[in-house]
Amino acid sequence: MKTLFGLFGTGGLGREVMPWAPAALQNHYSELADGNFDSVFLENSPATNIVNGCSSLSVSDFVTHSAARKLFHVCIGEGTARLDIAERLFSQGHEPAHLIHPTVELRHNISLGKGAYIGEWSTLTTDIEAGDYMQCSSMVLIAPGCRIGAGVTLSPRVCCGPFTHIEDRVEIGTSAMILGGTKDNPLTIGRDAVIGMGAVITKPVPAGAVVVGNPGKIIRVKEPAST
Amino acid sequence: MILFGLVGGGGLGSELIVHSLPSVMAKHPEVAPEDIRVVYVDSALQRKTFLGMDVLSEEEFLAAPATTRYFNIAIGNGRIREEVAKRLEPSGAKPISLMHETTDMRVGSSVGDGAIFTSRTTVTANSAIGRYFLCQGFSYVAHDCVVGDFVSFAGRVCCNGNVHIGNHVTVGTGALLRQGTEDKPLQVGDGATIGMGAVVTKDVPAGATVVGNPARPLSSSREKKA
Repeated sequence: MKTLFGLFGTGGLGREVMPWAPAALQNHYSELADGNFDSVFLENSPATNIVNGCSSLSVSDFVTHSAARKLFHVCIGEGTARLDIAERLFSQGHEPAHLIHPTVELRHNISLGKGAYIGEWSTLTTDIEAGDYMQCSSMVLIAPGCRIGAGVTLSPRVCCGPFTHIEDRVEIGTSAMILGGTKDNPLTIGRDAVIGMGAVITKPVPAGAVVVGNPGKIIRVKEPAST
Repeated sequence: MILFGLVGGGGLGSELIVHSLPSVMAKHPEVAPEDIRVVYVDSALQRKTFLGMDVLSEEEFLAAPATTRYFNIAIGNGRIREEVAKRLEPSGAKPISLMHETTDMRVGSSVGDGAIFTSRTTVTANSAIGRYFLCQGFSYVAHDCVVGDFVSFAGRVCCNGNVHIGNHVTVGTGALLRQGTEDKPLQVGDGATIGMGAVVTKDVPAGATVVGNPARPLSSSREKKA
């Protein structure tokens, strides 16, 4: 029985990623280097369509599929939803796969959680710890000493300066920049915070805050999440 | 002999000449490189050669011996690109897209004739781009976008998913366009100009110039200061 790879999400990112996902798996997992696996989209609703020439399965069909090994990856921008789906698939015995574009530069002492996504031309430098299901888009720079929580979403071209600690489920918009952490005094972005596109962050951001502009200003604070 | 004319011997033209021969060779793998002649087409350039290439006027380019005559237009202003295309196309010259080897054009997307994509540019999934699109270094067009004709992106433009851009729109360096939705795409009207570094969070009306973070019409930001 062959290996089956399911890519959850056809809303946008999933369709952007599927063209290179098989190559990324071949590149990252030596046992998949021969390319002897099938790739399908996964959808919640009954999957009826072929999406961009690639077949699509419902999650329930994936769960009951007879493949010996089933890998999955969840391509959903919203961190909470991504964690929910990924943890459900994981608890059902499926294997979270990293999707790391072949052009990504991973330097030294990087620890990735389950099912990391790292898009084209991103660089993770040194001494970086990332939590489960981090989504790090294209052209992102993560400087030394950063910690990235579970379900964090980094949009294209985000720059995380040295010693930035990003807590769980934070979303950071396109081309936002964070700078100001030091080894003794890291700059923390509190859990569930949202950083707007193009924002420039030089000070700590409290949990749940929504920050936009240059310099970044808090425009509101979300209701705290239950966890 | 295949003749390729790059219209415009300015800064953009000097950057793009390296893309020219590979782009023609990619379209004609059966033709030996020495049977492809690359020239600049620029009547205003007061010299016979530029960067080692012959410089021809439009008339000379159209009269020079060639089995096939291709061109592209290295001019940042989309309206001028349109004027040049309207002169050259009826004269039998064909537009050919210039694409750097690092350009990543993904499944389900389409691009019209005469496009220019410089290094590390990306069109992701299911986007439709019009004619003579100019897309400069590190810019991307994400999923489900619609881009009109004669649109110009400077470098590092981030055009996120579900953005609809009209004709003759100019987008400055590093500008960010917020993601729209399938039901309500972000709209940028015909002839709009988006300043460098602008963060566009709302629809931009046709003809408007917007700047800043968040992007606002240029006229009102001037009034504010006054």
